[in-house]
Amino acid sequence: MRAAARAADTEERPHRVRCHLEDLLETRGMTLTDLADRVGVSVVNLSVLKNDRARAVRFSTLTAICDVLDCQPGDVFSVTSGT
Amino acid sequence: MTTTSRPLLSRRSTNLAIWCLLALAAGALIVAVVLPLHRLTVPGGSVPVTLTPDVDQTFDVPGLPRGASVIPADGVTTLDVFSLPAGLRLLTVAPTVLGALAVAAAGWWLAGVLRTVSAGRPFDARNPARLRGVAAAVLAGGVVAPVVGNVASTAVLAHLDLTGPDGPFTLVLLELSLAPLLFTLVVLAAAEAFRRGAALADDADGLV
Repeated sequence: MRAAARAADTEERPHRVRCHLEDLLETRGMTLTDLADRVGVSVVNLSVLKNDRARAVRFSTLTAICDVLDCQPGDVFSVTSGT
Repeated sequence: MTTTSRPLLSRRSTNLAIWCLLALAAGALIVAVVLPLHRLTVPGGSVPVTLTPDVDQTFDVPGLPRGASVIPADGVTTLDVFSLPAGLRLLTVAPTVLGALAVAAAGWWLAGVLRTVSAGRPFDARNPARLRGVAAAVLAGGVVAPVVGNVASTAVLAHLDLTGPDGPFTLVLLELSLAPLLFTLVVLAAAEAFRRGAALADDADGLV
């Protein structure tokens, strides 16, 4: 029921935000577990983010990710075209 | 998500409470099944009664038929009848059966709520319905069962022709107790809180 509600919500307010965490980790030679330890967020939640299944991100989490990966939010997320 | 306080119950305590509730529910369910079956194997039954004020306190109750006796015990006066029809015998145990079913249901649903709390999902979508079920069980056991008991008493007294205006017993049909009603309201309030919590948890689902 929750999945159906979530799907309905996605259908009503779709988003085209894509997360590039996997690419950033690869270029820095870091694993998701390493990042989770340094950011202070669970591996499960970072996996949700990495696989574009997150619905929202706390600013504190985004700040911590950018500090650890030495990047900007625009490096972590992008909005794909609507076409 | 960070928590700022230690849980009231440890995981071990919660699991112990779950097993206790399940054992209580199982025991109550067995009572609810066995009691009426047992009652059908014996010829008589007993019901709580209220004596009129002018009856002698030695319980020498006038007009009692043969095989019937009045027994005082712990502030409750019981009319014990040696022989009753099967339907009336079942009616005499109906309040206890209803109470046992209420305990079984409430124990089962409370165990379900505690299981989700132990699993770190206190605002599981099923918990509001479970708590509403507990409220209904409290109402059934605390309010409806006593009324059924009074109906049973009246039916047995009518069967023994002891319900006349000059009879030794006072007929009571409705006797409301405040405590079960208040407890039902408390549990319903908790169910509403859990319903809103489930909605908030759903909003936060997928939040990193």
